[in-house]
Amino acid sequence: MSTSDISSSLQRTSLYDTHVAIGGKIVPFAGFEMPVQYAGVKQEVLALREGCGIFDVGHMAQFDVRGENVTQALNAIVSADWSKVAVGRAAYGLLLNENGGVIDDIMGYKLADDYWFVVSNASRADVDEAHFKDHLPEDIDFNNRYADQAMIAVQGPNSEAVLQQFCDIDLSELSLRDVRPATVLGNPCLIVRGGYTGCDGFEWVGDAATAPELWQKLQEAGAAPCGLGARDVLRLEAGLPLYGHELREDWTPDESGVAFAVKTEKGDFIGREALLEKRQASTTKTVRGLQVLGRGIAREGYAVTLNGAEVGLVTSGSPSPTLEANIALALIPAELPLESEVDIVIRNATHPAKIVALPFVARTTKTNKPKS
Amino acid sequence: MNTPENLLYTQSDEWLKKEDDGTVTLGITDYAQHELGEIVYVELPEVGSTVAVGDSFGVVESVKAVGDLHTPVGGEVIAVNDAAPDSPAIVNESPYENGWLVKIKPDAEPDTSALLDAAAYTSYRG
Repeated sequence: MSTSDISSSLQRTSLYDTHVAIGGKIVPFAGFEMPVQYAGVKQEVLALREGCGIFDVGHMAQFDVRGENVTQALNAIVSADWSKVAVGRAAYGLLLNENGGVIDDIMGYKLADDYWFVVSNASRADVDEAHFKDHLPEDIDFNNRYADQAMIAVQGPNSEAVLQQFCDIDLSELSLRDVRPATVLGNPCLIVRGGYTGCDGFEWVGDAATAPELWQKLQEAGAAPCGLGARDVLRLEAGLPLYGHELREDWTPDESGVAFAVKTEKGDFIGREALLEKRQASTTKTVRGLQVLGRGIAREGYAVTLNGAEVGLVTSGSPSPTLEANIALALIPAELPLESEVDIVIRNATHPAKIVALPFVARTTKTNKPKS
Repeated sequence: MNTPENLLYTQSDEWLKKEDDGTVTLGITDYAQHELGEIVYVELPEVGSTVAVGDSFGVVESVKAVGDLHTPVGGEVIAVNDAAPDSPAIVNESPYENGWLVKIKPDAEPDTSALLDAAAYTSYRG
């Protein structure tokens, strides 16, 4: 986990007072004072999976990128093909360095032909900003919002019913990764269908002054406040990568298990050439799912062995409240078959684990409606 | 925060009880179990193993946190609470009674000068 510059004064989102008032345990995270948990990580995970949970994600890096040729300019930087993204849609992508390593993963929301809103990891805000500024042409206007607007993620099977009570657009009409301007509690905002939990859900992006009232209303409507701890467990259960764990500057997207987000055939982008060269050498390891067969809990950094020889390492690991099993993501040889066993070294003792398919918990995101 | 008067405390949030027979019982404090949150895994040493002052004698883990247990006394582990690994929630529910962790037969008179009494621990974590 990144601990970038927590010694200097920490920032707070507009929901800080709310978190404190409702008993959130505040920790420093990526330069912000953020709630790691409220009622407890396990309870929060289960409340979200069974109903609805809300996260303050206002600490995430938020950039406005504008210009006549903005799509072309961004497409020369991100790994995915953003040239085909329609206005009103969101897209996932990676920022790669010149060596083909992963700087960060990002979401881009295409709000107009000349306007993208880009969201990335709080812990990588400065690095991402520098990367964009280094590589975007001068005619592209790039602005860091420095968290002056708020973001709340509303996640879980009941998220549509909960958020709909305060929202003027018909949320049932949004497919996964649709982005719409809307009015919530009388104030303009953006609503995105998606999230980072593997569940159905939405993100509200709006004005900081509205956030505390919306949070309170969502809670009254049955949403459980969820902290960073639950967020990390939920994304792990969904098999989703996180920078600093699965995504690293010295690992390629293939190693990180996010090759799906790389479209080398779209044309040139930063890191493409290096990645293609590395692919010639063939990737031997990739991030995969493990389930511990006993009671031991795998944690980040633990070694993975096969017949006593070290073959990889755990990148994220936790008990899964949803599955009632101990799960992990680990960088291990790609050729090992599913269901085959390896060992995880936990405090000098080996614990057997089997290789399982990702995601650990089946995704229940709302799939795209067929487009006619 | 519950801090019984008859126990001694470490700055790393273990408690120690001197038993009448010269053995000591160790566990984690109410503060520690609360900070960890719901405990889902407890790992304890083998009965018969020996530990030195400051050694790790096990772990208690919640979903997101790993707490290393350190003993303030050296000696032989003469009993472990099997209920704790079997039902880790017992450590949350009863950290000073049913959720005790190990009993140690000290190899010398324990040096408790560095330990805190209930008042000092309360003000340390208060």
